[in-house]
Amino acid sequence: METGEVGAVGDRELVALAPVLLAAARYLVRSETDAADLVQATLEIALRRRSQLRDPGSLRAWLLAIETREAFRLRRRLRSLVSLDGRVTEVAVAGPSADDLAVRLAVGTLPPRMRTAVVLHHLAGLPVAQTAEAMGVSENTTKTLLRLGLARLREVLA
Amino acid sequence: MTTPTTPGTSTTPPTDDELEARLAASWERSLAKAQDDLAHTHVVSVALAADRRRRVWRATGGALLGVAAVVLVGFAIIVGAGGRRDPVEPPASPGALGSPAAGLPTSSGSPAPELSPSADGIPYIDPLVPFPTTVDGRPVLPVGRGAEAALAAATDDSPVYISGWLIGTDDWGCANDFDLGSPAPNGIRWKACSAAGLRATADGGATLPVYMSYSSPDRLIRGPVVTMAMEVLLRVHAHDEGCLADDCAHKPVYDAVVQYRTPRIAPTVLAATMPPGAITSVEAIAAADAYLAASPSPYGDSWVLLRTELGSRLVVGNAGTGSDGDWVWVVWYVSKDGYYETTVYVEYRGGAVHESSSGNLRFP
Repeated sequence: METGEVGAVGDRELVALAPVLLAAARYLVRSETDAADLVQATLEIALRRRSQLRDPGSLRAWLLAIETREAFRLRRRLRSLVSLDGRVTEVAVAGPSADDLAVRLAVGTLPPRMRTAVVLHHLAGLPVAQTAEAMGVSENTTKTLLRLGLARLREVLA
Repeated sequence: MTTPTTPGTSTTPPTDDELEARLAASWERSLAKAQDDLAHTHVVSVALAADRRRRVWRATGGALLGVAAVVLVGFAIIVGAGGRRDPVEPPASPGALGSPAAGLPTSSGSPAPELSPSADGIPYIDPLVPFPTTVDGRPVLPVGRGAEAALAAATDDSPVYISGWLIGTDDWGCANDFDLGSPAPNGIRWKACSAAGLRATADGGATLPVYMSYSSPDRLIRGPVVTMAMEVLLRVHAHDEGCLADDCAHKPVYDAVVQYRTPRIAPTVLAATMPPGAITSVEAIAAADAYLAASPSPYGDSWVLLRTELGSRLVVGNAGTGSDGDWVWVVWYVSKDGYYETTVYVEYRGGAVHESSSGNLRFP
C-alpha cells in the first residue's frame, strides 16, 4: 500500500485505537473529564494530520505521541490556573480490583515525565525508542526515567 | 498499641517481574474499561464529526479561494494591460454559493456572512455570527422571546420570522403520518410530517412546535444528527388555509428555512460525555439482575438479558411529570417464554436501581 497519501489511515483504524488512548489518558491526567478531552483532542489532531503518517504500521506509537504532547500541553494550561500536582483528585477506577486501584494511585504519584515514560513503555507497550520520540527526549533520558519510575513504584507498592 | 495488618499486603517491595505483572494486569483492565466506556460516550463521534466539518469547510474554502484568485488575476491583467477600467462587478460573495433559495426573503438588519451552503442550498452561517434581527423589515423573533406572542397576535397568514434550535435528540421528524388532506385531531390538514419542535436554547428550554401543513413546501427542515444542535431561522405563518378549527389558527405553519447556523455539539451531549464516578455496564447488569431476582414476579428468576444502553439524559419520574433525573443504564430483559419484556434503570452514578416500569421514564 502506498504510504503517506491522504486517507492512508482510515477512520476505522484510528477509532480502533481509541480505547488505547483512553486507557493511557487515564494514567496521564488526573480527572476523567481531562482524559476524555485528551482523547478527543488526540483523535481530532490525528484525523487532521493523518496524511503525515509515513508508516501506517506505527499508527499506535504515532497516536500515543500526539496524546503525550497534548497531555503536556494540557498540564501546562492547567498549571496556569491551579496546581494539580500533589493532589490526588478524581481517580478513574477501572473496576472493583483493589490492586488495580493501588497500581493506578501509585502511577499517579510519579512526577509527570516519569509517569509518562512508565505509561508509554510499561503499560502501553511502546519500545524505549518510540517512548523517547513521543516524549521528545533522548533514549538515555527515557531509560533513566523508566529506571527511577520503577524504583519509585516498587517503594509505593511495597 | 499494635497496628492491624491488612490481609494480602506486604512491606516487601515487589520484584521486577511482580511489578511488571501488576502493571500489565492494570493496563489490561484499563483497556477493557476504556473499550466499554467508549461504546457509551460521544468522544469518538464528536472527533469524527469535527473532522467531517473541517473537510467540508476546507472544500468550500478552496472553491472560494479559487474564485477569488481568478478575480484577482483578471483584475491584474486589466490593470497591467493599462486598459480602461470598466466598473468592476464585486466578486461573488461567499454567500453566493449558498444564497437563499429563490423566493426566500433577503436578509437585512445585521448582515450575516454566509460561510458554506447546506446540502439543500440554504446557507449555514458561523456559530459566532448572530442571525439578522430583521428580514424584509419584519423582526426575527426567537422562541421564548417574542415568537409565541407574535403568532398569538397574528390576524392573517403574513410571514412571521422565528428562530430557535433543533436538537438532534429531539423527536422532531416524521413521527406521525396523516393522509394529505385529512384533518388531524388539532384541525390542521397535514403533510406527512407533523411538527418540528423549535427550542429556545441549544440545551432545551421552551418548545414551539412548527407544523407542516399541506400548504407547506415539499422541502422540509433538515435537522441535525443526534449529537448536534442547530439554530435555524424559519419563515412561518399563522392562519394556515389548512386549519379547519379555531384552535389551530395561531399555530405556526412552516414556509421555508431562511438560514441554518452551523450545527454544534449539543450541550447535553457535552455535559454528559464523562460523568465522574460512573459504573460500568457489567456492574449495571449485576445490579439489575439482583433487582429482578428480588422482585416479586412470576418471572423473578427467568429473565434473559436482551441488551443494555447508556441513556442520554433520561428523565426519571412519573410519566408526564418529567422530574429531573440522572444518567442511567437501561437494561432490557425478556422472559424466557418470550412474551414479556421488562426494563430496569440503574443510575450511572451510584448504581441506584429505579422502577422497572417503562411508564416511569421518558426521553426528553
